[in-house]
Parts: sequence; C-alpha cells; structure tokens
Amino acid sequence: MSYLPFGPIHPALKEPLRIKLKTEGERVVDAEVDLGFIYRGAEQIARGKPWQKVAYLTERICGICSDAHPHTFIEGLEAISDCVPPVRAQYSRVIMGELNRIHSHLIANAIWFLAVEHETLGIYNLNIREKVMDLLEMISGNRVLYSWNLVGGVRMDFKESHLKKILENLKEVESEVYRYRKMFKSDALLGLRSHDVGKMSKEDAIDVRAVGPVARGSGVKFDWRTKHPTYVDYFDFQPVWRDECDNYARVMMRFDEVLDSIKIIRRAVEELPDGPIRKECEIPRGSIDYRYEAPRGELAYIFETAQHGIINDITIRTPTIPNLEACVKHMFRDSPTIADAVAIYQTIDPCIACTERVVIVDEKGNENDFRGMQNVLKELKALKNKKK
Amino acid sequence: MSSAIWYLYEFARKKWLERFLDATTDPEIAETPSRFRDFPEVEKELCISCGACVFSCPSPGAIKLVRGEEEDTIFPVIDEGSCIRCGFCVEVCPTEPKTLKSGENSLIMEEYRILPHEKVYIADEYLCIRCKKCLDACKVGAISYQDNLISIDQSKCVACGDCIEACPVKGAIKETYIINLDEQKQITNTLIESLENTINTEMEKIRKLPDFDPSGIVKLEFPLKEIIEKAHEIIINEEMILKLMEKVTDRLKMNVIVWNEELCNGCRLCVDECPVGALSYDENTGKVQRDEKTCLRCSICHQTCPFGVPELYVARFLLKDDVILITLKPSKISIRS
Repeated sequence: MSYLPFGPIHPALKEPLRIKLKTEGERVVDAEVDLGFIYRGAEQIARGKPWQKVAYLTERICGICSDAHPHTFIEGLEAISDCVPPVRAQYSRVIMGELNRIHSHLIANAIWFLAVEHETLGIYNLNIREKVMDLLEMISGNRVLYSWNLVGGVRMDFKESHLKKILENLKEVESEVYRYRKMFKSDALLGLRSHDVGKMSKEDAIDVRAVGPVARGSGVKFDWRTKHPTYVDYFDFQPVWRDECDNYARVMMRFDEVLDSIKIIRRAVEELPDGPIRKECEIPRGSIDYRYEAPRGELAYIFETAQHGIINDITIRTPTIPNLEACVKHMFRDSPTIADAVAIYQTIDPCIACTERVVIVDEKGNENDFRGMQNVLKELKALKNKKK
Repeated sequence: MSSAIWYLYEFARKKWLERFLDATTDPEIAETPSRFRDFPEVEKELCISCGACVFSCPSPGAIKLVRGEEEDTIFPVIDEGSCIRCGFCVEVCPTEPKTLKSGENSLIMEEYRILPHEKVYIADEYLCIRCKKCLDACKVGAISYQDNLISIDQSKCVACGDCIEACPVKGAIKETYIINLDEQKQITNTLIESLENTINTEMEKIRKLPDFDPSGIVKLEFPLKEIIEKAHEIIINEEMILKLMEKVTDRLKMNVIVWNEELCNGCRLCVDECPVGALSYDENTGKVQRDEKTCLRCSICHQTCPFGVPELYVARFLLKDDVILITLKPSKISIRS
C-alpha cells in the first residue's frame, strides 16, 4: 500500500488542490483531499459594502457560473425586501440563467472528454459552446462578466433581433448536442471509461448531501428550480435524472440538461411578455438563507443586511464543497486505475477557486470555526424565536 | 476496430468536408458587439464634477476626479490598471448626454436611485433664510423651491455636499451619515459619558480651591485626542467621527449633577421624590447614594434637598480645533422651601 500525491500542480488539474490517493498497486483504495492553495477572501471584502458593489464582487467569485452567483445574491435581496420584479425581468433572468447552464455543462463535458483523451469530442464540445458564448456576449455586452442582474429587475432589454439570433443559434446547438450524445452513447472506448466507473449509490449521495448533476446522476430527484417561484409559476419544470450512478450517468446528465435548458429557453422566448424590466425596491434590515440551482448544483447565499442595503455579514456555500466530498469519500473507492481516478474527479465538474471559503482555525481551543455561517444561523434562530 | 470505422464515417460526411471548401473568416468575429463595455470614454466638457462615478465605483482607485489646467474644470480620469469595466459609473452619471460612455450602458437613464450613498442632506425649515443660494449650487437639480419651502429630492441627490458649502447659515442644511447607525450611537454615548466624567472629576478639584465661587461660571477644556482614539476602535472613517463630534457638541445643553456626599444628613426626603428610583439609602454609611446610570438629570432632587447635596449645573460646549470648550453655569432653578 502506498500514497500517490495528485496535485497541487498537475497537468490534469485545472485548479490547484492536492488529492492523496491511497493505492494498492494500480487500484485506488482511499483518498484524502487538501485545500487551501487559492483562498481569496471574498466574504471579508464584501462585509460593510453596499449591495451594488457586492453584486459585482459575487460575479467575480466564479468565471463559469458568473450569472448564477449574482442571480442568487440579488434574488436573496429581493426576498428580504418583499419585492417581486416585473414578469419580463423574471423571464430574462431565466433565459440568461439557462444559457449560462448550457455553456457550463458543455465545458464540463469537454474537459471530461479531454481527461479521458477523447480529444475530438472535447474540442467539438468547446466549439459548439462558442455559439452560446456569442449569445451571452450579444445580450449582456461581455463574454464572461455579464453585470446583468440588479435588485428589482435586469439592466438591459432584449431586442427583436436578439430573440431571433437566440433561436437560430440554439437550433444549431441542439442538433449538434444530439449528435455528440449519440457519439458518446455508442463509442466503445468511451463506454469502457465511463460504465461502472466511479460508482456512488443513491444512499451515499444523500448521505454526503451531493448536489446538482452529481446527485441527479445517482437517482436523487431534486432540483432547486422546482421550488423557484418563476419556474413554478410559468414553466412546468420537471428535473431530469438518471439511475446508473456512474461516470456515464453524470456525463449523460449534463447532455440531457443542456437539451432540457434549450426547451426552457425556447418556451421563454416564445412567451416573453411585454412590460417594464425594472422596478424600485427598498432594502430593509434583515437576514436570509437563499438557495438557487447553479449549473453545478445548489448554491447558498446566507447573509445579513443593515439599512439601505449594506451587507453586514455574508457566507457563500458553493456546490463543489459537498460534491468534492462525495467524490473523495465514495467515488474514488475501488477505482480500477489511477487514470480512472482523474476521469472520476473531472465528472463532478469541480471549481476549486469557488470552493475555497473561509475557515478560522482556533488551534488552542481545538475548534474549527466556520465564521459567518454559524453566526448568521444563530442570529436567524434568535430572530425566529423573537417573532414567536 | 469499431472506433476506426466511426472515424471514417465521421470524417466522410458531406457537411464536415464542406467546412474546408468554403472556409472564410466570419466578419462578425472581428466586429465588437454593440453592447460591449469597454473602458469608459470621458467627455470633459460635459462633466459637472458631482462625484457620482467615484461613489459608485466598486473597484478602489479606478476612477478619480482631477482638476484641469483651465480654471473650474474638473473631470473624471480612469485608471485602466484597476478598472473592471463593469459600466456602473456610466449608468449612474446624471448629466444628459452622459459624460462617461461605454457600450449601451450610457443609454440607461436612471429611473430609480441605485447609487450607493452614505450621506443624506435635509433642509431645516426653521433655520433656512430662503436665500436660494443652494438652488444655484446644486448641479443635478435635486433642490426645489415651492410654497416658501426648500426641499431636497433624495432620488436625484448624489451627496456631493456643494449645497452645504454654499449655505450661509450654519445648520440650515443638515448632513447625516446613514451607514453604521449602531456604531454612531456607541460613539455618541462614549463622548457624552466621558464629558460628564471629566466634568465631575474637575469639579471635585475646583471645589477644594480656596477662591471657589459657587455662583460663578466655570470654564473647562476637554482634549479631543483621547476620545478620537477610542472612536477609532469602533469606526475607521475619520471624517465621519469628526462630523459626528461636531454634530453632538453643537447646540448641546447638558444638565450636570454634582453630588456632595459630605453634606448629606440622611433625611431621605429625596428618595421618594425620584421618578426613576435612582436614589437609595445606604444604612451602613447613613447617607443617600445616587446611581448615575439610571439618573435622568431631571433636577427634582436638587429642588427637594434642604442641605444642597445635589448641585445642578448647565453645561454648554464648543468644538474648537482639537479641544472641546466647556462652560458650566450654576442652574437658576430655585430650591423648594
């Protein structure tokens, strides 16, 4: 039995973290994960700033979910102030969020295909993703950082030409994604690398609280969009799920969700109502725990505001935190080769820079204190007790 | 074998081959999209130097107001090293047409106030002399004059502070910080507590002097340095602390009670009179004691006591450079006989 260090600098890793693989020959028996190479302290910067500035900061936490982070934060603020944005703004948010999801899933699959050395499909996926990126750039102005959401609505309105271009590009994306899905399904080599590799049962997924496509690939039928007011009111949303519980299920999940998102966007574009896109909202003192389905899974923003929309305290829980634990605890077990461990690691679509959240370690007291989360939760409890 | 056949099948498709035959660069790739947010362009002539862009900027030090070579020209300068191209400064710019331009953000006219603000300006109708100088000073047209009243529209105000500079009456336009309200309360409380403590300790010293005149005026000085150091532990913003000190000491009138325990005979007349129960009789010493924290400074004990144990003074304050000047006057409230 020996230990094989994997990272923090490794050609297969897109972001720095260290995974210690405990191996018996080529077979992986156990694994340990070591984070802390890329901590940035977004919470500390956000504390004491007005919401307008924090919205731009949250956008910069993750480069790929750059719509999901401000989306969650802004909708949390709206929930605090009991302010419902106009219907056209809600539809615009759905369109942007789903486009964001498509490009995130396509890049995740591309990276997985590159990790298993199937470069053709990898580059094909990246190529078709470019169509979606063009749409995002056309709508919001920039390719990565959209600055799209704000309390009470969205910044800019769709033009007729934009809607036409969205439908045109999505038609192309859909036909290509169907083709890639078929290629992935029928390819023998990809089947060897994906079927029955990195198994995680439904019970295990629930046990480690896996979220997003990772959980839905293991048969957990849960999606935060089923509880989102816009999706409940205007779209009959049903989550997609699979029960193979392996790499194949997780990669296939992403293709299926892309096709599902395309359907949602089509419906939103066709039914897009007329009206204003912004509304005035006053933000009072309050605190909230708001969750939204980011492309990678559940994204939680727990924060507290002072008067006039100043952020007192904020905690961000990104989807990779539970998914990484699911990967290390259950998926690496009995992975037949080291190369498969790399492929398994890529199926959870890890984003390490988002995951590096705050920890204050009290060495003398032997207590690991997650600052923020605990404090805010305590205060939330105290507030609820007061109301009673 | 199957994958080799797949490759043949994949690359022999007509659509795939056509890509190479009519391969040209898509002209749309070279064009910048109409909504692309580049670094904001500045048109110096339009700037009214209100500072809204500086308040709004989420990136520290990306935008600065700079004085031009000609007189009275101030305009924003953008540091491309720290600008994050969010386009928020363009959105909040109040001029028409906008001074800053970047993509289609310059088309957004602000319907609702989203500029982050720290201060609020309010006109005081009793002190205002209706000279209307602030109307000319305001660059964004937020101040209006109607029905013999000056009013400030909060949705247009950019909190630049020009109206206060133009106003000839001190206090006619009030500037209030709306952030950190709890911390502001803490600082006010510590200032008033320490003022009262110094008055009490100084009075004890002065009273023992041979030429002490109980009906005369006493003048004291209170250095600001210590209290500012204390306040810095609560808030970092120095400008805010000084403004707060000035606001607290301006027009503040404080009743100060000096308790001469030696004169007390233990008659307990005052104990029942006190409305909040701040006075209590101590059986061991045989004297009445006062709890400073619950005391309201209402002067009822001063009026009741036949021996003159509680002495009531009225204190007034003036902030001058780095000291607070304190003037103590004995109260003229008569003692009940």
